Amino acid sequence: MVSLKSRPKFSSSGPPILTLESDLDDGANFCRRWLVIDPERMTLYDEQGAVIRQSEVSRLKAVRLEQDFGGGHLLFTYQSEPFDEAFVRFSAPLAPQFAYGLSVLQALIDQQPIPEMSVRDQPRACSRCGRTLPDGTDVCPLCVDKKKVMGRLLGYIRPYRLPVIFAMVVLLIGTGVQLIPPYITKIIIDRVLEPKAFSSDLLSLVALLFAMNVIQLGMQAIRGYLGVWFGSRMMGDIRRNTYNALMALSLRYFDQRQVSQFIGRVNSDAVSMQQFMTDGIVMITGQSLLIVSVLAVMLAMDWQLALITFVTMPLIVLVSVVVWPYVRQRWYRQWRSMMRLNILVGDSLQGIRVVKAFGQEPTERERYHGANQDLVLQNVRTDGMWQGIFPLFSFLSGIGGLLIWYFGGEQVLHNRISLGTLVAFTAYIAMLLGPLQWFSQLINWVTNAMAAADRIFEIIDAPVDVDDVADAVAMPHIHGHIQFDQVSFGYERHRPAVKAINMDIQPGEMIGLVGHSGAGKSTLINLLARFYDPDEGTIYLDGVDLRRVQQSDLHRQVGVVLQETFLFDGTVADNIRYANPDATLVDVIRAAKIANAHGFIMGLKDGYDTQVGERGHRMSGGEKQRVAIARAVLHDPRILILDEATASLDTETERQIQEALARLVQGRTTFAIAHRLSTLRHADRLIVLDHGLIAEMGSHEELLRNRGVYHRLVQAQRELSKIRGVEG
Amino acid sequence: MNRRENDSAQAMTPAHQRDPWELYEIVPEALVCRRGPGRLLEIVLDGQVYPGATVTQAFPRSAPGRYLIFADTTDNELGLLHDPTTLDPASREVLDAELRLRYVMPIVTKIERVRQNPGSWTFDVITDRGPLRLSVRNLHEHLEGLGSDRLILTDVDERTAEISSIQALDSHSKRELAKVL
Ligand SMILES: Nc1ncnc2c1ncn2[C@@H]1O[C@H](COP(=O)(O)OP(=O)(O)O)[C@@H](O)[C@H]1O
Ligand SMILES: [Mg+2]
Repeated sequence: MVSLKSRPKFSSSGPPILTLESDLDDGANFCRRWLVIDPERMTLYDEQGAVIRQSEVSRLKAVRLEQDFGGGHLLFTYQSEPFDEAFVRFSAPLAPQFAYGLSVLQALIDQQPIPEMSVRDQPRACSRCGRTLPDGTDVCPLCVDKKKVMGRLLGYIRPYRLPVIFAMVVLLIGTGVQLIPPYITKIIIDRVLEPKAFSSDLLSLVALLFAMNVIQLGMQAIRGYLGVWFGSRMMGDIRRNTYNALMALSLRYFDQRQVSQFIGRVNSDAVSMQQFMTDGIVMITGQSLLIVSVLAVMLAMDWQLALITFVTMPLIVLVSVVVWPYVRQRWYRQWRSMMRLNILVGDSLQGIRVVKAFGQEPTERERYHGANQDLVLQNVRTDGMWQGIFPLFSFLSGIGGLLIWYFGGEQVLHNRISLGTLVAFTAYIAMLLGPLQWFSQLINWVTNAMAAADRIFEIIDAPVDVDDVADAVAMPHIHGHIQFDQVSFGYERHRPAVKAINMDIQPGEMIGLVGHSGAGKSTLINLLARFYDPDEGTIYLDGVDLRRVQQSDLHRQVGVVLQETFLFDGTVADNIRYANPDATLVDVIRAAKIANAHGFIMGLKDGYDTQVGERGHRMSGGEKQRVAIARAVLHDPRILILDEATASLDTETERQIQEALARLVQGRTTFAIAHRLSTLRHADRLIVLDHGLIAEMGSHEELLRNRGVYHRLVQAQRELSKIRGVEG
Repeated sequence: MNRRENDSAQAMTPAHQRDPWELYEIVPEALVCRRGPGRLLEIVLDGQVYPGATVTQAFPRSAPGRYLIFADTTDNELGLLHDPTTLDPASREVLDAELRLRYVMPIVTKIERVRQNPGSWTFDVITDRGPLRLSVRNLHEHLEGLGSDRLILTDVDERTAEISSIQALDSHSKRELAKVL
């Protein structure tokens, strides 16, 4: 195994420029291969260091990295050979290294200087486990320390130190008080009942017993209330932290997951922890305290008898240890079923219109039924297991009691201990067995709570890949000078959506982005709004790397109107001032007028106070878009982004808004994407994207003269309008 | 309409003159697959040679090995081969090997060990392509069930492996798998 880890000796002449390890052979089976790039040639070696194949750099015409599914290969095209060659294959995780290898080869062919390996290309390893870290993060997803879950959970107690200390004191007193009544019974039996001492203070002893009960009652109530008080607060804190973490997460995190799962998760995982936090912590401490003190008392009263009681204890511990992993698994399964059900409900309700339109209610019911059945099954399994285990615990601990009656009874018969002692002993045993039986319940709570806590911490710990850097630059006044320098980005690794984008946009310029759908227009804008960071290259805003700009400053001065508009729960006015809650009502109306929304809003019964969003008035797509435009207008951004912002409007309304927007874009850097090319006639420059590359750049007239991609797009639209008989 | 006749009529049209909105079904008899000199797939379709052609599965999960889309080096779609079983054996062999290259999806033949470490699960498996270790952060995001008998495992590095039939696994593997199912 050790030899596998080390590299074989290669028979190359000088030191190689680059050595890459690959993990697939020509039949795509796993094995180790080495691609060694020398200034003159590339050589592929096998595990033993034997040459598999070799190519001279001088013979190469081009190299390409071909994507397969779950892997890829380097493809060589030769000057003289009529065929291409698949030189080396590798699996997907190695793609970044080979992408760099490709750029090295390309440089060799072009006789250019060898590119530096950028920090992002370098495979970085986790300092703890040594495995390669995922792109764009320094947190190893596997090494987040799980052992600390309990510690972190308890860390939430810190703000409530005083009440917790108070609760502990109450607990201490309560435990002490609990220990007294059996002892009083012992006195009653030994001093009053046994000697038939009529004159004695039976009444006062019973009164004492009564008083003890009252104190216990009070203590329990206080303790319970305190538990709930700080348990609920801690849960509140945890929920808030989780939600904050969700809000801070980058879009990439949500791209990769079904969003509807989080709706349930944040709240239901918190509920799973709640019981543990409120009752659990107090109970654990209280009961442990009780066990220890009862043991001490019993040992003090009669150590031999006490030892007999403990005989069954190892058994109980053993059963717990055996059962624990199963409990954990069961809970996890139940949770997964629950999550599936949540996702299902979330999805079908979000798409309820589509469900109804296609009459698919029965299918959805069926799907729900299936998932629900599964959850029922998991519930029965998890809870059913307790129905078996719980009695087992009671049984095991009950045996201890039986042993006492037998051995203790013998002792009483032989007058070695008093009857009172025996009775007190059985009472103490009952107190001891209480917590022990309850121990099984504890396993249940703790596992459930720990699992929930773990999932919640997973969200809290998820790396934010567009995080503010430590020395972020404050930019209170953005001019709007934007430069893209060799920017490439892909939503999935090495499947770039935009490639090698270079552009320089002056402050106040209006840029129209055109191209086929899927060309990468929205992607470009996502990068500018810093929803994602580029994989390669840099975006500069007023000369500052966008990654270093303080995000709050950026988002305050960037206004975005998307095709899919979203209105939040609240009034129309609330939605217009979503980002500027301090704006006056007059400003709101002014913004709505510019966005051509004023007219239809005034037509509503409640005017600007009309409730919209989930629970409110339903607006048409065009109406929503106009409210969203008003929102952007009021935001008064330095950089305005319109991503098919007027796509749902009819031509006439669009024309009106266009005019309003034409005024709005004055003096602001504007990016506008529109399918109707006529919409972009105000643009200073048009940038034509094609398959993620900039195909053309220039004014409308220049591009028409060029007769390139843009010309074809315009031609196609002219024909389409002729058919429709609209637009000139 | 006589389908066969229709197919061959389509097949006669050179790829670049076809209506891009139409789907062209490839007649198995008109297709030869072979391995080119640079270890790339080379197909002969209606007498025309396409070196470096690519093949892509339309339903890699629900109908693996069928509904294959062929394209030339410039991504021009050449047509759909619905079912390769009637291809000549040599072509089939080449095609199967090519799919194995195109889709690096190891099939698990044996599960050596499933282990839960603090914060992750490790699967040590033997696949049809050799031994593989997959590490996942949790099960709910990385273990995907397809039907009741198939599983796809994707690890934190986006390595994947498929268990095509849980039932068909040996008892040791089943026991290991039971830890997570
Ligand atoms: N969130 C996403 N996750 C993965 N791929 C995406 C995502 N958004 C867009 N893409 C892909 O990126 C490419 C460019 O998309 P986009 O920039 O939205 O195009 P458009 O020019 O139509 O706005 C498309 O191939 C699209 O499928
Ligand atoms: Mg778009």
